[in-house]
Formats: sequence, C-alpha cells, structure tokens
Amino acid sequence: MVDLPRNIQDTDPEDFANELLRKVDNSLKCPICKAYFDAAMYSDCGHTFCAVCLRESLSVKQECPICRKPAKELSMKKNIMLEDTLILWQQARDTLLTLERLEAAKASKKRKRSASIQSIESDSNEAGPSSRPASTTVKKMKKRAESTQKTGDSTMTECPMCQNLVVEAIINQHIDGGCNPENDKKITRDSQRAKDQWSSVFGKSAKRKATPVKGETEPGTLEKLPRGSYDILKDKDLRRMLKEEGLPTDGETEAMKSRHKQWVIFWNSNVDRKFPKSRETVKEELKKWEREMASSRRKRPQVNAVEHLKHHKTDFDKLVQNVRSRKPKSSAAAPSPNEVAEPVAPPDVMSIDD
Amino acid sequence: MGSIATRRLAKELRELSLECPTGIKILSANDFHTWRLSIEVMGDSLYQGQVFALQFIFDAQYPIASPEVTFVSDEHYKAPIHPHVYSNGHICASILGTEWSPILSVAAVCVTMQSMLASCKKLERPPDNDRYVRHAPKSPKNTRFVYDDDTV
Repeated sequence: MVDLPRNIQDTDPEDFANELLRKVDNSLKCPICKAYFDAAMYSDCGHTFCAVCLRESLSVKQECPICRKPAKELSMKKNIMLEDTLILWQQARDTLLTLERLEAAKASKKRKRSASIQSIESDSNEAGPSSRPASTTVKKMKKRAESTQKTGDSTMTECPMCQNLVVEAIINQHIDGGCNPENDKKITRDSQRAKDQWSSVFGKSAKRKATPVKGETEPGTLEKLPRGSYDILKDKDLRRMLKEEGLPTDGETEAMKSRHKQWVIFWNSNVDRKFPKSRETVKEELKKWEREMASSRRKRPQVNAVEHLKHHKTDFDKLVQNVRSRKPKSSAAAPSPNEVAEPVAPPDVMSIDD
Repeated sequence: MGSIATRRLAKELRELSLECPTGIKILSANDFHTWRLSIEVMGDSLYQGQVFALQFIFDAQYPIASPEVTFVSDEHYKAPIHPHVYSNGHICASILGTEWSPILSVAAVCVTMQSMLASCKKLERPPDNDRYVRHAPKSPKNTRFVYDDDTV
C-alpha cells in the first residue's frame, strides 16, 4: 500500500476527465521525474521533489531546480505531511475515478433519455431529471467506501446509554463500566495487550512496525552516508569504500567513483523514505542504474575508423596533395595546423573523445 | 536508457500528443533517444511563414542532464538565421547549457526557442559562425558557449 514500486504508482494523469482533479493529481508528482513523490523533500525555498531527484539535481548544481535559489543537500528536509497526503490521495484516487466514470456514464445515458422524454412531454420542469440518479450513485458509492474502510476495531458507534461515540469493539465493556471514558482507554489498552500476546503466541504480529514487511526496513535505524571527496581518492581507497558498503569493486576508476556517488544518493534517499527499502533492494536498484547508464553509453554512434577513412579518402588525398605541393617553400609558409587537423579529427571522433 | 528518463519522456510524449503548444508539432518521436519537432513563430516576426525543425537527443541522465538540442539543417529544413544560431544548427542558449534545469521539458525548450526567434531584430548569423562551424564538435553539448546577450 505504501511502498509500491514507482512504476505502479505512476498512473496516467489523464485518467481524470475533470481538469481540476487532474491538476490535484499532478501537484502530488515530482516536477523532475513526473511520478508521485518518492520520499518528498524540500530545501530552503520550500519547493518539493523526490529525495533521489533533488539529490541528483543538487549533485550537478547546488540550486533549487524551480526557483534557482541556492540549495544544499545538507539543508534538505522531509515533507512528511505531503507524503501522508499522497498516501491518502492514492487511496482515494480509485474511488474518485470510479465516481467520475459512473457520472459520465449516467450523464450520457441521461442525455439520451431526457431527449426522448422531452419529445413525449415537452413541458418537463426546469430542474431536469439529470441530477438525481447521479447523486444517488454518489451516495451509494460513498456508503460502500465507508463500509470498506470500517474494518478493524476502530469503527465508532453511538452508545445507546450516553450517546457518545465509542469504539464498537469495546461497546459492551463501555456500558458495563458505566459509560466512563477513562475506563474505555484502559479497556482499549488491555485488549491491545491481549491481542499482542495472542499474536506472539501464534507468531503473527499485529503491529506493522514490530516486523517490517519483507523488503522494508524499520525506519529510524538507518544512517546516512557522507559523500566521498572523489577527486582526491585513490583507487585503493575507492575499492575499500565500495567494499565497506558491500558493492562490487570492478571497473575503472571513473566507474567506481560514479558507482559510489550514486550509491550514496540512492542510500541516503532511501533513509529519507517513510518505509525504507532493504539494503539488498537498493543494491538491486544501483545495479539496474549502472546497467542502464552503460547501455546508454553503448548506444552512442560508434565511428568505424576504416569506414571513415574510405568515406573521406578524397578529402585526405586532396590535403596530402596540398601539403606536398607546398613542401618546397615550407620554410616560408607552413600549412596552417587547422587545415590539416580538421578532416583528421572529424566531429564524430571529437565527440566520443569528450 | 534510464528508467526515469524513459518514463519521463513517455509522459512528455503523451502530453505533447494530447496538446502541443501553438506552432509546435511532433515530426518524429519513435524512440526515447531522438525526437524531432517542427516549430513556427506565431504572430509578427522576421520568420513569418518559415518552419524550422528542432532535434532533441536524450541520454540516460535526462532530465538531470540537458538534452542535446539543435536546429535541423538538411535538404528539408534550414537552421534559422539568428545571432544565436549557427549555420550547422547549433544553438547558443543558456538553458541548453549551464542554465538547464531538470524541471524544463521538451515543450519548454520549444517555447523558449520560439520566443528567442520571435524577439529577433535582425537576420544575421553569429559573428564567429564560420570559424565555429568549421571546428564545432558534433554535439553542441561539447561546446563551451559564452552567454553574453541577456536581451533574448
């Protein structure tokens, strides 16, 4: 529910026909990756992004991507309320979508029917028949939504004796205890304790926190990593740092540097999550990231040296001729280095070198 | 291609195919590597009636890294004659270089290019056009531009 993979959370904003709902939906998405916020964080200016997105952006340039005010990774703060809102919104989203579709269907049906009604009795009243059936479905939907939400023992009900709202599960004890609210608290505590005891017996934890779901780590137990000063680090140090984190130590210096850099970004952003993922999961993400970067690099057009020579043979020949013809008076005017260098170092080759 | 890059581009493409800013059309976007869009300057301008094509090349770091944006210069399209556009299509615009921000998008770049053309006062190439074009790297991202004109 909480920690869906980002691609599942990432539903189409166009799902909503209503423009305002679409805007609300989009306002809960990161302006950088355009997916729902994953560990929403902001810097001094208050603009919010995913923890990973903001960290990556700040690692390139220390400013807010929106307002360009100076921003530092150390000043990043969690936007906890927004995350809670997002979780609630994601729960409400399906209900809203269903409602929207139902109403759209009703409206189109109504249009057809009201057209035929109008043809039969032309003096239909102004209120029109369109509003009522739609609103009854809304009510029905709401009711259904309420009843599904009222699971577990937190359902409130009115006490027939004192007319106060009381948790339904303890209503009998409440009346037995003479409708005393202080008494209710004790009952709740006792029942929770009993429950915990039972669950410990049956090995099923009632509390989510006690045993994190597979793939999640209990929040507050993880520590952030400092960024390495990669420019002055030697390969040996890099390898040691990667080893300490349990990461692969293969590849060139640059590969190791960017691996550690990205790991720090991924890991620190994971610590910022409400329900952090396990170390192994983050490691998998890093692996995937590295693969993607490598495949993207490979996609760059490769220049075949032989082909290039063939293709530009006439140019080269001309240049050679040019230079040879000038040779006798080379002491007077040496060929401009640019003229020679240009075709030898074609744009393609230059861009790859860079 | 990075998964974030792919997903963001998919989203941008969906939004563009639903509603493109005025004067902008998708010419080709068959993958998440290279896109081409046509741009036209609306209203009064020195480029009335002319259609240009912008080429976007994305890497896996998009949108953290800027896309490589150039005006297409081939048998169908010509790069606009503008003090910030070289005849090989390279563009000297800060938002494509040091002032890129990951919240910018393909649509935002297109609109910026439109307004850059719309505000042009005189049809001329950059003063160092010939020299630059002769030695320019293939990708303008490998050029270190100096952004000295704040009026555009």
